[in-house]
Amino acid sequence: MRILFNRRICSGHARCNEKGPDVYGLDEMGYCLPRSPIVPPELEEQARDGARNCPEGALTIVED
Amino acid sequence: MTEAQAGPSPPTTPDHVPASLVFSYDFSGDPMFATAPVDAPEHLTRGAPDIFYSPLNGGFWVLKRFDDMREVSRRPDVFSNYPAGIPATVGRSRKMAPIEIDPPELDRYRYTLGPALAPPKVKAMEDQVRSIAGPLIAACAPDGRADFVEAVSSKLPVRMFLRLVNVDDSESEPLRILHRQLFSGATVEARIHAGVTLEKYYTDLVRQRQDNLGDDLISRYITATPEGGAFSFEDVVDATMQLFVAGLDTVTNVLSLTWDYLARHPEMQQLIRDDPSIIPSAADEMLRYTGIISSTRTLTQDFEFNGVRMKTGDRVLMPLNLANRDPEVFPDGGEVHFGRKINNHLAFGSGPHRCLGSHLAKLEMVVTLEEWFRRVPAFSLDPHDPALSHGGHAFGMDRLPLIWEAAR
Repeated sequence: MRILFNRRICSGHARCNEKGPDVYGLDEMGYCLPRSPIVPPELEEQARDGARNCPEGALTIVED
Repeated sequence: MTEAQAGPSPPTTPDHVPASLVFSYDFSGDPMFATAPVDAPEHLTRGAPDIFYSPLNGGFWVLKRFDDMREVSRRPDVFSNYPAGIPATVGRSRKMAPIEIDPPELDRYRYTLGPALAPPKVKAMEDQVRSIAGPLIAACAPDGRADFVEAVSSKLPVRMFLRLVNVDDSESEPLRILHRQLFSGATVEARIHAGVTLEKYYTDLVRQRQDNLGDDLISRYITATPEGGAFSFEDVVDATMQLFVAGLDTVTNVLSLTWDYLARHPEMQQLIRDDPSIIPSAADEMLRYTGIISSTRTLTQDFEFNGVRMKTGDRVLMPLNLANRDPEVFPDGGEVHFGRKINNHLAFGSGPHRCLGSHLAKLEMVVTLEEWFRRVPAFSLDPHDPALSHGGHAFGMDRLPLIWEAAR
C-alpha cells in the first residue's frame, strides 16, 4: 500500500494524524507529513482511516 | 416555499441571473433560526438548485454542495475574502485582517499564528482548559439548573483566550458581555457600540503589550518577521481583535447547540456516560452536524462556475452546514452518529482560510464534555423557560436553560 499526498491542498486539519498517528506525522504548522510513502501491512487500517477523514481529499491510498 | 419566490424577481436580482436560479434564503432572519437553527439551512433551501441566487440582503449566490464549497475556497484569485459579510460590513477604513486578506498576503498571518495553534501546542493546553471548564461546571452542578450559555459556554472561551494573550481573568466578564452584545445585541446601535468599545480595548491592549513582550499570541504578532514583512501596529490590533471574534462566539455556539441536542436526546447522553472514550469522535460529529458557519466570498472577475455565470462583485455564501449534509458525502448526514467512521466534515472551512483555531475549539469541546459528564446527571430542557437561538454568519444560541436532578 502506498500514500499519494497532495501537499498543495493540505490546509492543516490534521485529521489524518488524529486517525492514523503512526502513518501521518505533522510539520510545525500542523500540516501533514506522511512518515513514509509505503505503508507496512500492520498500519494499513490507520492509513485508510486517516485518508478518508481528510476534509480536503489531499490523501489517496493506492492498494498495490 | 418562501414568499419572495411567488412574486416577480425583486430589484436586487441582476440581469445575468436567470429566473430559474432565484430562490430566497434568509440565513440571518428567518424565524426558524430562533428555534431550530441546525436544521434551518437544509429546510429553508430544500428545492433550490445546487447553486442559486438569493435576492435578499443585497443579493448573493448560495452554494449547497460540499465539492463546490471546497473548490471556491481554493480559488482565492477568483473568489476573494474581501469584503466579509453579506451585506458587506461598511465604514471600516482598512481590511479586517486576516479574515479579509487573500493569499499570498495571508501567508504571513498563517505562518505567524499557525505554529502556536498546531496540534502539539494545543495538546499542551489541555490542563488549562480543564482548569477553566471544571470550576464553571462545578459551580452550577449542585443547583440542578442553569442557563448553559450564561453559566458555561460563553464563559469558557473568553477565559481561555485571555490566557493565550496573557491577560488577567478579572477582565473576562466585561469582555464576555461586550462580545455577546457584538453578536446578539438587541439593537444595531448596541452592536456598533460594542464593536467600537472592543476595538478601543484591543488597541490599548496591543499598545501596552509593546512594552511588555512575552510568549503570548499578541507578542508573537508584534515580534514576528515573516516573509512579506513585519506587522504594523494596526495589523496587530486587527489580528488580536479577530482572534477573539473568531474564537469566542463560535465555540460558545457549537457548545450550546451540542448541549441543546443532548438535552433533547437522553439516549445520546447515555452513550457518553456508558463510554466516555467516544467523546472526541462525538465532538467531531457535533461539529459536523451543527456546521454553524456560513462563509462569504466576492467575485474578482466574471467567471463561469459549474455552469453558472457569475459577475465581478457578485457575493457568494457558503453555508458549511449544507456541505456537512451533502448526500453524496454524508448519505445519512441529517443523523447524529457519535462513532461515525468517515467524518471529513468542513465545519472549519477549507483551503487557505481553514480555521486556525480548529484544534483548540475541538479541545474545548472535548474537555467540556468530559468535565460535564463527570459532574451532571441526565439533563433536559427547562419546560418553563424556553431556549432561544439566532441565525447569521455564525448561527447559535442566546440562552439554553437546562434542568437536572440536583445533588443532595
